[in-house]
Amino acid sequence: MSSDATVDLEQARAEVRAWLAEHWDPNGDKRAFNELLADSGWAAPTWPVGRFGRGLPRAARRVVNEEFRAVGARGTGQDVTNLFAGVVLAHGTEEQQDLFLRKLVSGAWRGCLLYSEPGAGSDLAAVQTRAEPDGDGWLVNGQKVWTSGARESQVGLLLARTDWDVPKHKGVSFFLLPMDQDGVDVRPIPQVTGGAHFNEVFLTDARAGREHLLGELHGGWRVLQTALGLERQIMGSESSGGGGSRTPDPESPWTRVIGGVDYLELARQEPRDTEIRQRVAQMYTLEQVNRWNGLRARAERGHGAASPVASLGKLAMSRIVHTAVQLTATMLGPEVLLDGPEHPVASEVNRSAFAAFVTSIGGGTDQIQRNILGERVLGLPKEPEVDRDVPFREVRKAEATRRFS
Amino acid sequence: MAAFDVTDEQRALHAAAQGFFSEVSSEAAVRAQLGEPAGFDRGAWQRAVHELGLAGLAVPVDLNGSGASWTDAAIVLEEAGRFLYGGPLLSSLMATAVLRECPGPRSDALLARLADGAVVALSWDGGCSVDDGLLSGTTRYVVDGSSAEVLLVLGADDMYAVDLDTAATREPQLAFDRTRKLAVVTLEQSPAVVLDGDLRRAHDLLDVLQAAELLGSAQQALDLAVAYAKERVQFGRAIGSFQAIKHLLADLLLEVESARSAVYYAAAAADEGSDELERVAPLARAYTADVLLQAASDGMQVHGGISFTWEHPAHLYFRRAKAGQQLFGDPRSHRELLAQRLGLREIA
Repeated sequence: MSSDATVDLEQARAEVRAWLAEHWDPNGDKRAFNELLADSGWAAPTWPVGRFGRGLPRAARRVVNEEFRAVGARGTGQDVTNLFAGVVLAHGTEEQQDLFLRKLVSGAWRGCLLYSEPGAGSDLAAVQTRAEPDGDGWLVNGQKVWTSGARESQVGLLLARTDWDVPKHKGVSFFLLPMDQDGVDVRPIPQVTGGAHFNEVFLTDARAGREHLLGELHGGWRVLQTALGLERQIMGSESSGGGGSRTPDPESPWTRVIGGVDYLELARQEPRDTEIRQRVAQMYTLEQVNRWNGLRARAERGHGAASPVASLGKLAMSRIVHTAVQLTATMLGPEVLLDGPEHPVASEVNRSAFAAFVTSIGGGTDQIQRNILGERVLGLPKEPEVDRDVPFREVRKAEATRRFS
Repeated sequence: MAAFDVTDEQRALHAAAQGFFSEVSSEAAVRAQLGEPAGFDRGAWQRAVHELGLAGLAVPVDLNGSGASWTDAAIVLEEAGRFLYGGPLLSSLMATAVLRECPGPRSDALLARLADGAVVALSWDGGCSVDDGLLSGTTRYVVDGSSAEVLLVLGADDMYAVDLDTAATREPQLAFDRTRKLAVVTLEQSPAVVLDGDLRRAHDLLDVLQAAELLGSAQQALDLAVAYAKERVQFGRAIGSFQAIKHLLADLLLEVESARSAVYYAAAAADEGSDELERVAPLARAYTADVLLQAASDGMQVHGGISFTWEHPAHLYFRRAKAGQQLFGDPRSHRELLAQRLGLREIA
């Protein structure tokens, strides 16, 4: 790294430190702080000035994160973690950016994902939810599933079919659907973990206006790729799993740490036999190499090179969480037969055993990830597709609706 | 720690190493040495020593070396591993690591000889014992043992240097990995020089260097399999389009790239004198050995029947991979070391 770049980073550090000193109050009004934060550009420091960023290089993220963490403030790093704002920034018109960005960055509006359907999971291009022209906009009808945070969201990133007479990828469009309307019916889905974090969303003559179409009409597939890329990056990143954040998330396998409890702490509690010692060393290895992959991806991006490691995180994290839950359960022994508040550690480990599937299924299954790595990184040819070049109307389809609640 | 910041000089070093090994260790060159139980291409080694300064790559400049970092050494070893180079490069860099960690005039003299191309081999199987300054015993699986002038005898608590021209017999061993030459060395009351220093760090450095070479072989095994999966057609399509093959290779990609991160993180820890080295070194060594075995093994599977022929290079990588499971210790013992260093206690 050149000394000039180092000087710039230290200047950024001084600036963010001064800004936090002036505006951050741990006991203050968080909403007011978030509004100020959005306008300051520190929420997404690498985004352009005038678009809620400060136009800083990627290397500045670490510096800004450090300063926020040092004072206990939250809300920066959205250039990596806010996929809703990220996709609007990437594909929105100037008018749409004005309309949505500030509300999404300040947290005044939340977003949810309306991609999957009962009949379109791994094969998202097969969505059957339809958006049909109606006056100045569209009327939307269909069913979406696995939607986290639907009830709390103001904006739904919606993939809907706008043309049935072309092959599947070419007839879908991407919308920023307003969630506060009569045509949107959100119902929680009871889950294996006992919670109801996901919802099914029934859309019945829901309205999308002209300003809610993101990207070209029938050009939704391209926008979706951006959105999925952002999501996978978030799911594979260190901050969502490994060493970084310890933020409790009821659907995350690492609510305490990977595997439901700190596997290293647990392993150190008593002498362990050879098999467990080997497995702990292997687990630690998986965790560390993924952390180093993340560091390497950042370093390689900093040099402007396309980094193959950036796309590996999600598949790696999936193996990490599944391996960790098995290891912690083995170490706990018969206690994992039990559940409930009187056995908090066992409950946590058992809950994590299910939650590990959030990583290996959600946001693209491991199998889909392997296809992506094989095709996009290794350059292997795609499978022949029987629905390729066939108008979607004529393609064999799965059931379009199913009630889970 | 400043891991993964690759400098322009390192990019140039990588390109130079790749160019050199692709020439002197082409498949034809490797095959030409397969039947030689003891030797290697002396001409190529002289070029490595004198044109590229590889023998003394990590020897300090004032001892006629190149004064390179451990990260630089890893870059060169990765390329050597990629082309299955069979000359005494790994031995030279490992000996450099031991001697640098045992500073003193005796080590300096040996380092200067190393930089000039003298082959220094390592005894690692614990077959020698010392009595009154004299070493005796039979040590096996000594890499480059037939051609070495000096033998470094590695113990957990002590290290010695022995001049092999006096009172030693060597017998080449036919190695399963034909690309690497092993020998039995027998010492009978050979005068030995004691080397004092940070032996623990020396052992960790050996792990990092070996890991770098294993990584290069794994990368090449993956690259060969991917190329074949794109070119081989069955059922009317390239076999790489089948998910059964594609997923195997995607998993390998994850492993090989993760191994690369481990190697270069470990090399950076070595360069910076970080305490992390004691965990990272055995981790990288165990992991890269297992990744290479998976890459070479899945690589053969992807190649199908052709991989079972002598003329195809897949078996050469498989041989390296099997050797990587045992040479200088196995992955299991390195994981055990990692477990100890993570603070795990053994059942008494």
